Amino acid sequence: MSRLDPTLLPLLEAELRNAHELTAVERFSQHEHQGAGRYADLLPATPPEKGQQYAFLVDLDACTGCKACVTGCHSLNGLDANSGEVWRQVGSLGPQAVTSACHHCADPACLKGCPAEAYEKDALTGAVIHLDDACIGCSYCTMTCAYEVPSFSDRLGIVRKCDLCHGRLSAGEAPACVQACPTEAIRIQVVDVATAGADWGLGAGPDPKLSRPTTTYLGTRPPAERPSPADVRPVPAHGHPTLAGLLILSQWALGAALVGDAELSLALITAASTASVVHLGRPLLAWRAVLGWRHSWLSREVLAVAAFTVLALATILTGSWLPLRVATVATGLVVVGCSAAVYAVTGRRWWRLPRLLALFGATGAVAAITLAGAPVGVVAAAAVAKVVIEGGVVRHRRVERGERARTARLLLGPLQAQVGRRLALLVLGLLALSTAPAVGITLLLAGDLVERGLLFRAASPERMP
Amino acid sequence: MTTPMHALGLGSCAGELERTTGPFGLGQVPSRLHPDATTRLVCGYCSTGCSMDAHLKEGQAVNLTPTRGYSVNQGSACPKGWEALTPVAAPDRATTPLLHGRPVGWDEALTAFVDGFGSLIAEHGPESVAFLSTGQITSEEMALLGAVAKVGMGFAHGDGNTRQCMATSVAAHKQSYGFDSPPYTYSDFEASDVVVLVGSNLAVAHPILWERLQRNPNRPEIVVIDPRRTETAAGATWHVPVAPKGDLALVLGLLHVVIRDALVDEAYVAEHCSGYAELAEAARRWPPERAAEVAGVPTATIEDLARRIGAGKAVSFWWTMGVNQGHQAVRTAQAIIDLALVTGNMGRPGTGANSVTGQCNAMGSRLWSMTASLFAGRAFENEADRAEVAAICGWPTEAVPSKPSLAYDQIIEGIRTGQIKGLWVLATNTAHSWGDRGELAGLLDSLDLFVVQDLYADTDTARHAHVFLPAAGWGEKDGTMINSERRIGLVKQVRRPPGDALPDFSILRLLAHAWGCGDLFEAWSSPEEVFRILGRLSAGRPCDHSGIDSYRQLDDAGGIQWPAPAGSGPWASERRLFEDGRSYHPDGRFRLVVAEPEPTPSPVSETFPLVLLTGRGSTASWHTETRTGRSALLRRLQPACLLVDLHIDDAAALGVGDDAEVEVTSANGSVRCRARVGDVVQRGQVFLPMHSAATNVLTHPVVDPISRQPSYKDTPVAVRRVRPRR
Repeated sequence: MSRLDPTLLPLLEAELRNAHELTAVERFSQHEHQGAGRYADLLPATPPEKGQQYAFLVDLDACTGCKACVTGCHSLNGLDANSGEVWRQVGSLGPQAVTSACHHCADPACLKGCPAEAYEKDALTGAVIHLDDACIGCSYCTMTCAYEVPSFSDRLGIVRKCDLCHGRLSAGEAPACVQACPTEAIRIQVVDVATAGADWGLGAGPDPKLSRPTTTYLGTRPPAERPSPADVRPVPAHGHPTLAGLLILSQWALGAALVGDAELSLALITAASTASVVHLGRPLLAWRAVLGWRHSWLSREVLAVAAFTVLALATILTGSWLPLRVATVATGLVVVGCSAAVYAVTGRRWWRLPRLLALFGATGAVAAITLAGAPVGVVAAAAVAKVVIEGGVVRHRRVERGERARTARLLLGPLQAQVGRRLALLVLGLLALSTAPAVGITLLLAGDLVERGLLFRAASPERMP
Repeated sequence: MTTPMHALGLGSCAGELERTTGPFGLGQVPSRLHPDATTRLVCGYCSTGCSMDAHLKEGQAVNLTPTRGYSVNQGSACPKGWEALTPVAAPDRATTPLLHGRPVGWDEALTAFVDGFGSLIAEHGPESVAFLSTGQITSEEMALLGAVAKVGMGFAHGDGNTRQCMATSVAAHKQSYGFDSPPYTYSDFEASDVVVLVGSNLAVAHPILWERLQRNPNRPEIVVIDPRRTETAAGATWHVPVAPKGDLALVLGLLHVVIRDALVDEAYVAEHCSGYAELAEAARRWPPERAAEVAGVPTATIEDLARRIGAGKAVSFWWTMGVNQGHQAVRTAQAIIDLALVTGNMGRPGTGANSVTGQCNAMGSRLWSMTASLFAGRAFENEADRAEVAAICGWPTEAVPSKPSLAYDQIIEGIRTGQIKGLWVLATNTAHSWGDRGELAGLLDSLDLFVVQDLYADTDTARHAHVFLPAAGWGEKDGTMINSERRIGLVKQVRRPPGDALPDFSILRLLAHAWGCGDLFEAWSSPEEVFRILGRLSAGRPCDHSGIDSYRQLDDAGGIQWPAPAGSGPWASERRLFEDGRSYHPDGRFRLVVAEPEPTPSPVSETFPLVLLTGRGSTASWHTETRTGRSALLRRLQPACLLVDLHIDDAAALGVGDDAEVEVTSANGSVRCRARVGDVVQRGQVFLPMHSAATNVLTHPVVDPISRQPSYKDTPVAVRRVRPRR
């Protein structure tokens, strides 16, 4: 290596120093920005009156699909950069770009489902607002909202969502997405809450009757007849292992209570509660989960599980006092009912209440038969009956479109390995049952856990474009 | 993962999203990002040249919003602009020079550069070394690069990635207009009654310009001539699905009808154009029936479109890569210029034959990089030009190179033949972006010395570097860039570069000093000083901006379009060229240049029966994704995997379903991706976005013989189904 010119070092130091000096503020004049005035005609002239609220109005003809609304919302609302958090998204119906955010529903499913009272519907603006500090991170709202609006933040352990920039609206400013749209395709209007969601103009996506979204889509080029966005590429959903665990363990706890094994019942329900607390984004706020008992089936499920736990414990302490045993079983049935309602209210067709009641009840019944030490043939007959409830949906596999056809195809396609595991565990469990009952029971329980994962993974509701 | 504070329910989550009214009329902004000052700077992605307001905290940018009241973007930005701070703030920025991958100090890296290139030049001569630069750095840096490399160090060769982008338009402009001079201003989008977009997916490539067109109050006829039913075509009033590379025949057919039906503005042609007789003769040989056959469109389409153009009061023609990247690209661009000229659509509001540039400073590269031409469009071969440059810069005349460089493809070929032994790549990702890239990686490894100067040490190209020099990025340095409509805009330093990264300008000054040629560039002490030198170099030439003497003046004016000669200001915010009908040729007349369409040198065959088209895939992606790939937000807005567009009929014939895994193969290589079956492409065509490194494994090494720009729009390929894996 040749020797370095000694005069280079001072220059190098000067350049490095220069590179770290920020002087733009001193050297250039300040520009006063022109406020939010430009957007005045994209806002309603008067605020909502009683029975009214603010709502998004999207002109599909004007939307070019550029996604500036997504990034503008991200920057102006200071969303999380590392995860690329978004409160608005742009999808497509064939050639038609469709922008959507929270629809600030007249009958918000996120709010109704929330067990922790972490949502409120703002009385003045109608915005559905998520109260971040009240959120326990149970993610239930990500399931009840048909539009997949609330999104979970791993960093914070809570969900966050669009708040309609209600603070901006109250100050007479346009929401961030309205400001960011270069073609003025997004505006704000005032709508009557009573009639919202009747015809929102999209002709695709989830059924607006579920929660009555207040967004209105306008367009002279109605989207062509296209498969629904969910039909385009059905993919398996999240398996929610802790929720699957909660369901199966609580239903096996009912089974144990039915056969009078209070110790096992208590152990299983404690494991179930532990699983459900562990899955929370903010487990130390778990106590908040009962606050929503007036409207949330999840809160009711939590209360029922708590009651079941207390009764099972009391049964043990009283040496199996019969009234307590009966009360435990009755409460276990209430838990099953609440669990079924928790998922049925999400509107997924595969999760309709009668089917979930049958499935969850059958889980408890098969567990009871198994734990009672019934002959293997009886257990097998009961288990087969339950498998029919689990997988009966495959009869829809030849139907061209629709939710249950997608579920059938997911079970027979991408999820077939998991289905195979479920059946294999069942068969192995039955084979082991007579020779090594503990092994057999464990295998059957494991099979049920796989089955419950499939309940989540194969659900394929209608989606936004 | 959840922090302990949050798990405990302590530490407010809600506070993080609090918004309060910001200063400077910004409206509500996140409280934690409240600026104590703002300043504006032009965006560093595409040539649209939008202005962004940087929200500053203690001089450092913490947020960006599009500038309201800036003539170009008027308060709007595309996703890349909104998100422009994230890639420069990425944790994987290069912070120190590397020697064979080992972190070293600047002194060691500079010495390795000087020793390496010095000994190559000493041993093999100046013809053995080359640089490849970019349309991404500032004009001041480009000028300093060209000057230091060619005048100071004696590099014989240098070219830029603008060769892949604008070389065709440059060549067409020079011959037809007499100077590389896009004539339009963006308000022309809003003043036309007929807008003809040729090979331009404006809605995706230049979203803000597409949106300006949407604001045109005349309810214009928007004609999109493109093989694909692009997002732009879907939003147009008239899509003409021309066959790939059928564009020259199509325009000749249009010229035929215009001339036959007396739609020519004869007075304009007589007064301002040369070569009409030859043009008319050539067009006569292309009646619509014949043109229709080559162009793959019905005869009636050509007849109707020609009449629509003839009847238009203000017709503007716009083209981008669909025209620029072809085997007869220059002649195609010139046919479009001819059509505008003979119909009198030039120099009036809403008219023009207008090339929309690619990169943020592609035009700066054309004027100042000293690669294809000497400063300000001068010719290396012209002795008077050389003397003028030498005099203005205070250099000995003999130090100014007297012949142009090898072009990009010839430099690559030079590596293959062993002529080029040392290569210096700045701010471009050759190993991804150059066609037939499968072979290129091996070529880069065969170099004796390979230096890469970039923001990131992990690009496809930088991974091959012997010496890596860490550069400052957008927003970390001062300088100017020139957008598509000739507007000189300012970029400012609103961030500190990470670690020991330095602006390219500083790196070049250090290299000049280390080389021992620093004395030649003593006056080139800061970007603003160099801007004034460039002003003097531009004086008296079409691109004259000698009337702008400070960055402050540019900033206050909101960018200024050239020409802006001394004593001619102040200037209107939007100005177009050729309002007096005079070209930059000495006689003031435009040249009507024409050529016969020729079949592609690389046609489809039985083995490769489909034509591969390439282009931009999303408004959230930029080129090789070196930057946009580092934003989690932008990644979310891009397709999750590589998708090849396939026509329904071809898919059926191949037994390929929507979303099926397929293999696309050309003579140069093969890639795996998923099929998107539909009617976006026509039968016989497939489309891949250029942002994937896989795409240029396939593209063929065909170039236009005049501009030497590659033809990325017609590679013959085959598609086959791959057995799905579960």
